[in-house]
Amino acid sequence: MIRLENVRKRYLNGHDALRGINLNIAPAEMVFLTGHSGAGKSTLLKLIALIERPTAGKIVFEKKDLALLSSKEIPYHRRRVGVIFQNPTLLNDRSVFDNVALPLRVSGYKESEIKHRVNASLELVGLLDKSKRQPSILSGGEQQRVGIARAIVSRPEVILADEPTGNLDPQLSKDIMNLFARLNQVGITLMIATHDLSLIKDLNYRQIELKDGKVINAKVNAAKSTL
Amino acid sequence: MKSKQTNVKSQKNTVNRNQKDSIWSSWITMHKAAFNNALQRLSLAPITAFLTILVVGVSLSLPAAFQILVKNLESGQQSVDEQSRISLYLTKNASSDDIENLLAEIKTNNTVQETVLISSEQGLKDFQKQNILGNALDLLSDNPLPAVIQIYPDTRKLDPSQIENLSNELAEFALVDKAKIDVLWLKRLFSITEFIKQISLAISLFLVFTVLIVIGNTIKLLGQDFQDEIAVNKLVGATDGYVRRPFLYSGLLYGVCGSVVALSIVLLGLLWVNPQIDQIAQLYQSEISLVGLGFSDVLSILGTGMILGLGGAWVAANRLIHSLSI
Repeated sequence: MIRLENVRKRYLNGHDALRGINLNIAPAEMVFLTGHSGAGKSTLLKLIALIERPTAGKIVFEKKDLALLSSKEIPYHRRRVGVIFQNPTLLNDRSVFDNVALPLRVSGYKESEIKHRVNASLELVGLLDKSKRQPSILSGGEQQRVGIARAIVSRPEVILADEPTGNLDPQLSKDIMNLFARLNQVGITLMIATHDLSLIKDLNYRQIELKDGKVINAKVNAAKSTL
Repeated sequence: MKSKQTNVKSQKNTVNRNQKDSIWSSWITMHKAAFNNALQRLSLAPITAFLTILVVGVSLSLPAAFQILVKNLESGQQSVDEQSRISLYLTKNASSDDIENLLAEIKTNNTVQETVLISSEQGLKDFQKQNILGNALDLLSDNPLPAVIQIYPDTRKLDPSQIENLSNELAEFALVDKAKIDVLWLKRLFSITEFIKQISLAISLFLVFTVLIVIGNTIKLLGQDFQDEIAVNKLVGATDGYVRRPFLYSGLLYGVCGSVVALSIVLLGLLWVNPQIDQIAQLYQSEISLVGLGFSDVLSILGTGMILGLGGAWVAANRLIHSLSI
């Protein structure tokens, strides 16, 4: 599904965020990216979502070399990828419903379909009863879940999550992880960056550890999944 | 948990349903949304919107007024052309037979539209009627006035310099003592009209450029308030066109509203000037009247406003989109 070949990213200030990453993510696989902050997890996800471009190397997304996509094709690539940030970038001048509807509106979905899908997404994250509220009056955890609902509403093939549980308490974090696992079961590929090892230590998914822009350890937990 | 799981599955299974609108209806939906978004953005900062529209209106009113001024000058010039004539003062000893021959010859020239003969006797009578010199004429033993042939050249065929050539030709006739035309002031009027046209064009271009900058700058300021929205939209897969569309509608609204203001200003100006022109026309017993705003003028002013609005918004929106790193 996603293949990275010797991917490097150097920022304009000379900082090397990624220094030769080789990865292969299978379709419908769920992987965790671990490592300290600054290890390059966020950069890696941004490159796959085409928010940033690599300095060198090749990223292949479903047999397509992302470097060959023109700037006109980028929006269509992003529609296939749901992105979740630690800090959900919600628009506070509109309701939770309208925030979640955004990916469907930019793609030109019917209003009836939008209603159906947004409500389904909000139900999945347990916020259906708050769809008319403004995001600013929700708690941090609820805002985070609105961001997740927005990322899954268009049923992307891939979900990239950057510290999705950063603002959540342990129980909510667990719920979110369970939600991700369920999405994975229906065939969605997920890459989840997190530094919260205690949260994932019991989960039976591949873990890719990054350090200073390199993969230093890739393992599958032996422990049985709690799911 | 179990029920939720099947929920996810059933959600995934409905992918093949007819989810997206047909291209046309989705196009219309998106444009409607963009237009509403643009209106909403204007209403968020009504004072800015009002001032921008006012500046655009005032800036566009001057080119519009110039357009009407030039139109009036041209129509005025045309009526002057129609009145331009050559007066041939004949030698005093010309007999009436000689004059008839000359008239016949002049009439063969197809650039001459009309000729009027004023005999010396007729001229004297006219002179006496006007009573300018009082009884002074009675003191003279014989009529001092020559016969005059007035020639009206066909102004559709001749421009002022050609009229001058014609006059020079006519002056060659032995019977003609002097040929006189008012070509000099005609020429002056012509050059002044040209000059005014060019000046108005220059000022108009300058003002049009101003409008472009004013609208572009307003859109740019507007865009800064919407940077988050643009970033999020782009993140979830909005095309540049989708992001740009509300800004283009905003620009269009500024342009159209500004044009309406400009048209109002020009109309008010015409209403104010018209009685004064009538008064002048009366004074000079002329039939000059003001050519007002025509349908084509209204269209061209509205069109200019729309194009400028769209253009300014396009440039500003593109700069905004490309300034974001997403």
